[in-house]
Amino acid sequence: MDATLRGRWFDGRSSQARPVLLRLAGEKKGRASLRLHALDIAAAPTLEFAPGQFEWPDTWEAGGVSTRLTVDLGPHGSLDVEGRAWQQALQACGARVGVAQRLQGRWKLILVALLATALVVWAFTRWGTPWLAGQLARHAPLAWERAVSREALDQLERQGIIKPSGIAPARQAELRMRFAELTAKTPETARPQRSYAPTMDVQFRSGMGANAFALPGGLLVMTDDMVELAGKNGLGDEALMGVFAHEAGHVLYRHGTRRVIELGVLNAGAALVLGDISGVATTGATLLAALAYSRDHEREADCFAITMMLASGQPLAPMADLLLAADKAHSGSRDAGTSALDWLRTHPDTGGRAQALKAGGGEACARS
Amino acid sequence: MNPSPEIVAHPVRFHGQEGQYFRIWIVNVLLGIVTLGLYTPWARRRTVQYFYQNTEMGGGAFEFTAPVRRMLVGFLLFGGLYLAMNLANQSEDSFARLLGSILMVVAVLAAPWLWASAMRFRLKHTRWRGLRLEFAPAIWPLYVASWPLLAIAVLFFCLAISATGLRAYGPIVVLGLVFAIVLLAVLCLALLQYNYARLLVVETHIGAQGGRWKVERGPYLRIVLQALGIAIVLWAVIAAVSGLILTGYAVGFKNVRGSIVLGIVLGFAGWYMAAVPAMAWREARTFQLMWNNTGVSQLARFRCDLRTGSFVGLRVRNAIFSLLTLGLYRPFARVKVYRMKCESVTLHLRGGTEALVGELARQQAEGGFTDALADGLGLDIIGA
Repeated sequence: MDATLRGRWFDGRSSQARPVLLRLAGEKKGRASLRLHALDIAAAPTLEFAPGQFEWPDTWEAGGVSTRLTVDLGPHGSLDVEGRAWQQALQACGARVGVAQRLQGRWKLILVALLATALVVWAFTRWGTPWLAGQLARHAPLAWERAVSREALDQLERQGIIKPSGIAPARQAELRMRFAELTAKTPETARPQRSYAPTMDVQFRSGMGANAFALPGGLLVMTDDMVELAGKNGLGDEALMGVFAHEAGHVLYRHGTRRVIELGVLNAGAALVLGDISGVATTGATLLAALAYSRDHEREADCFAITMMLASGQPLAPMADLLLAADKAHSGSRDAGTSALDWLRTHPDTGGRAQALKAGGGEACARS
Repeated sequence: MNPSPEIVAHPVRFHGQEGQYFRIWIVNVLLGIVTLGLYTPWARRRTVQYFYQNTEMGGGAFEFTAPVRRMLVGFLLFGGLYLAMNLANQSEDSFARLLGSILMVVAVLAAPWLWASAMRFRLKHTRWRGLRLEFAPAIWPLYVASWPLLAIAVLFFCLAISATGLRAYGPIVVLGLVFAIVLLAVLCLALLQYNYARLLVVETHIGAQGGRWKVERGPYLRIVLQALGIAIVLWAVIAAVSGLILTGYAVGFKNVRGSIVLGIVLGFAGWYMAAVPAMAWREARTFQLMWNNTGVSQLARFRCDLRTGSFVGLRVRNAIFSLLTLGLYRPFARVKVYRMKCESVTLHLRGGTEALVGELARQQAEGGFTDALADGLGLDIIGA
């Protein structure tokens, strides 16, 4: 199978166009070879090109509307042919075209492929990344986690964000004791990973408002304001124990380490997938996914706290009330009713959380 | 050659269409995702080929002939080195960090040379009527042309060491000095661009003919300063208007949160809307200046009739649509900008288009590593 057409040849030595006769012949594997015969000089030698020795750009339309096409002959210069004639000749000798070219000829195919890719990417962000981070975090050594946490706490102190606690040492020891008792009563089955049970190191600091946070490896920090807030609202130590239980949940689920991995995967992935589209889209998508992960972590920690508190027969309502009080203290005069922006929060909506706590978890914690 | 040939005008034409390029682009994005980014060299090549193939001048289209295997090697090399440098800098090991720092210093010192290799690679694989462009600057003029880089480094070093002592003189002196240093840095950057553009034209040959450069430094820098002025005036106007709206809003509704959000949105939009027209204005004026003052030896001159107003309008429209569509409009914007720039240029050629004689296909040993690495830098050919 072969086909003949005419073209203009630039031999790479001068900008002069030379008329040539071309012959395309079909080869194995849907490729084609080319013979070129110059018409301007009598008895000019015929040049032969094996498949792969000459290349041409893709056609951009299914029908091959590109009026002219430049074929690259490597050291032998280039060939100017009519696009349609070239495509027809290729078809006549049975040459195949690449994936990209086949794709860009068809709108519907592009759309389907795009949708499929979007679905895969979404599924990977929603389930793949958290699962991957969970698996990887299992291998983080406890000593390393502790070192990182110490470093982070020192950093916060050096920057003056937190200061030594003003709570009496006796009161601190009392709270520590109560939490240690609570931990002892927690069944082994409540832990997400049985072999991972670091000793909880409970610390008090002032600053950062009414707050509590957990660092990897079992470092739990509560601020003085939080303890005061519980006292001011007439809530017993059960409320503070609930907060500690929640933070312990973060530790046992290794949320700190997982978050670092999740964000790493997310940033790399977003840059890869959306990098060529726009920076705004990349940043937005990363932010939204990171917030979704954060809410998932809070939910898991809440469920753990419920299990821990119920195991030793502690009431859950004080913790829920403390949450509401802390939320009020943070937002100041802000009125309620902004839950429409649920996907823009780091924490799930506080009212809902408090209700779920009072109800003992409900379907949100059905898994554990 | 004919001793007294007449001069013929050949307008540059672009035959590409927005819809066509959108499909190429979306397929590139798609294949990029599926191959986890490995498709990038192919995507880049297909993009350049599309724009080149559809650009016609003097009876011949442009052609991009870079072998994709070399582009892939460059991409992997560049990616690997970049990754190694990042990993080394974040490492706990002090030896690894030292290695990373050394690598960084080498990269900075080699930057001009890398830029030149990248350009050489690009131009060598650009063909018009079968003739390749040759870009071969010697190493000394290249580094002499790079002096503004050194100047910028010195400026910021001075700023860094004097920062602590300066606070005593009060905020106005500090602000003034920072402004002066930023202004000087901007001028240095513009000079660097000027030097490199000049080098690119003067040291590029097509056949036996070298490029000709008559752009002067003064007008080039004046454009930069004027663009800066435009940006400041626009920014001040927008800031005043949004400030007024903001106060009205805050006083009228007593909604502190709402007005803060509105203020941030307006401020961002203002910054964006001031920067885009100013940069577009500078781009258009520089483009006109350059293409009206360059040529190819005694054979060819270029003329450019780009209309500044329409170009700024186009850039502003593109920016707004790209933002509204979260970037999906970008391929359309790219084609529109490229077309407007392309079709504003006319080639005035003495003698026919057949007169150029190529250097007999010189088969020089190809410096694989640098070219490949430089290609990984991904310096955009299609500047849009």
